[in-house]
Amino acid sequence: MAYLEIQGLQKTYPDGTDAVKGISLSVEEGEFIVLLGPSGCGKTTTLRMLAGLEIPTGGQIVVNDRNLTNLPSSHRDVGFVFQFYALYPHMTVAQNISFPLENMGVSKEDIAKQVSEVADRVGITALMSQYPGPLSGGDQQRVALARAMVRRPMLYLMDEPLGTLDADHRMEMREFIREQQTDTGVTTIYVTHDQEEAMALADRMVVMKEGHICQVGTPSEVYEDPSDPFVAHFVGSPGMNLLDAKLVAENGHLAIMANNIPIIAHLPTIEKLKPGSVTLGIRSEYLIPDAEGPIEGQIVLVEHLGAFAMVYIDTSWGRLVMRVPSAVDYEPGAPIRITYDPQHMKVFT
Amino acid sequence: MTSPVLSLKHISKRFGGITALQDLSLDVHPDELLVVLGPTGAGKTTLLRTIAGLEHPDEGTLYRGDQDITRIPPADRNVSLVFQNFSLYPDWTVLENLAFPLKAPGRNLSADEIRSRIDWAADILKITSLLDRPATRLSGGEMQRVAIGRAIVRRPRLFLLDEPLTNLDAKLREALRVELVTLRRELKTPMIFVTHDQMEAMSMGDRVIVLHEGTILQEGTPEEIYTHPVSPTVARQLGYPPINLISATAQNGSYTADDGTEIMPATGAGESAVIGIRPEDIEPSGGKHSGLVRVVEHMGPMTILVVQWAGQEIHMIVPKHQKVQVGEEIYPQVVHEKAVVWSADTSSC
Repeated sequence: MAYLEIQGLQKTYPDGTDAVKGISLSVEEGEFIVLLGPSGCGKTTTLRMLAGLEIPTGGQIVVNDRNLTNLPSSHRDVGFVFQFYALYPHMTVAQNISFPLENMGVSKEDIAKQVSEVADRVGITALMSQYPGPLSGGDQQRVALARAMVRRPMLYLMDEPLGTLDADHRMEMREFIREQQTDTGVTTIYVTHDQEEAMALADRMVVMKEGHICQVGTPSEVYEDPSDPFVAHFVGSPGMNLLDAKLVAENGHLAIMANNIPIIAHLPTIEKLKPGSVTLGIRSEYLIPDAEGPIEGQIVLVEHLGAFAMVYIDTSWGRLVMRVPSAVDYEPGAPIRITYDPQHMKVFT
Repeated sequence: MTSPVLSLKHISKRFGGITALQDLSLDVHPDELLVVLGPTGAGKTTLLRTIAGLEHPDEGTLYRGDQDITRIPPADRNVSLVFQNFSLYPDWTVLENLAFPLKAPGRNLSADEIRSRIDWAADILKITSLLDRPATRLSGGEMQRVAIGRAIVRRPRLFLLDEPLTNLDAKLREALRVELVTLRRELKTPMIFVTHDQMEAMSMGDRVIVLHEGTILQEGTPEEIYTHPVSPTVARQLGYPPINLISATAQNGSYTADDGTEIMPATGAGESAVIGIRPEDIEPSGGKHSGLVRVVEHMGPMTILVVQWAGQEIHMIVPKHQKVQVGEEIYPQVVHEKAVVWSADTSSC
């Protein structure tokens, strides 16, 4: 049995809303799991059930062979970080961070050592003797993270803890969280709607939609081999290019046609595969400029992104986005022909 | 070059003892998307409000062509301002919200003309099906589309957008970014777009102005600023992950960091410098000094590494097929032709 077992977990609110529709997930000790999905997908409700802030209407939660499903929050030993920090205003930053350790009866010396280590890593050493009130939102959130992560509880549970920070600090804090978690080895469940944050942090990510799990996998697995068009588009920036196509019977085998252009791709090995509509998906980096390519279009937009560039092309397949190393050679309005890497053309049935 | 549609000459604005804009001069050209990039407090919003006529500068002049418009009231400036927080009348339908600016006294538009402008804007912004819906029943993205619609129905000379995408979900931001750029190209109306988000600045701007404490540090195309930033402060504003800044001294033919790591070849000797290296301009092997991989983020087409090297944490981007593990030792090598070197005394700004 894995360290954390979520089995058939459900939450139906009294008004009939099915927030979480019976999800199951096994998490190994020390893993960093990110629940990712758009608003309303059930990720936060799932996290709140793990924290004991919501009572499930079905299923169970088992940690370390202990059934926690109906255990009150205060008996669960979890470290929780919300989007909005809650610090004790009458305590200094140092006192805020030491407080959870003092409650656990850790020796004074150990507390001092651990607190100063975590403060150093999160970059708030200079603030230790200040009170939280006058601190900026970003600094308050650092303190909140330091306070949660100085302990080694059974689980870290984090609900969009970086949501209120600006881009620069988000990246810094993301790295702090990942390094601190790697050091403490505490199993972590982290909720976000930001796919980039999910990719950066997760050992495995869990993509959710409308109360169920669409896919579980490492960021690379989910990115390269999404289970369905929703995941394909939601994960990645930009999302995977998606286009409508047809499976047609041809000389006894199946061929893919998109807009009357035959497509080369590996068909999923599903025995029941029948002629009909399918969706094709291809990542922007697997589209390639090619003067003899089968896809013809016009450049509508070129985004210079520093280390690379994105070219938006209107084609008879709809708008496609192609990733290129440099924006040089691409002008809006110009015609262009492109091809694709057939190895990476996905077929969603 | 065509003459500017708007010129700011030596504009200063103070609020009490705080200087929001300091001797700022700027031209806005016809048919360009000008991004004003800067952190909170840089003076971005004051700049927009001054252009809109909502603030009067303490010093300096605004010209529209040859005409001095410094004291002209906002209503006569023919500019449309879109705010970060959707400012719609909640009880009104989308149609009523769009019609309102057109019904202002003095506009003298016929009912037919108003309707045709609304239909035109709704069609462009794909909100036709929402016209009869009250604003309270719109999603965040729909609200911001309507707010933009309200700006474009007026057919202004100039659009002013104040962080219009900031409060939206990551996925939605991505989509609206592209829509805004293509929309502006169709309208051929100049736009000033204010943001603190480097991604928006890089991807949207025909030209970018980096604003810092009320003054312009640099202006140019996104690529120019990305490749040739005039100072470390500017360099850190663009690019993701942020540029690596390493303090070094030239000795024995190498720029050497404080911990003795040789960063790259140097001419001269003894000078102190700050070296800026983009994360994509460091190879993970071939260097002389080892670095310890602390974080590995699989971001789809690329992998971001955080590496302890040269006495600090640096960011590197490596291709996704490059397999690197946390805890591994690598030998970073700087692509020195691409590094930027600022002498230490000029690099403080």
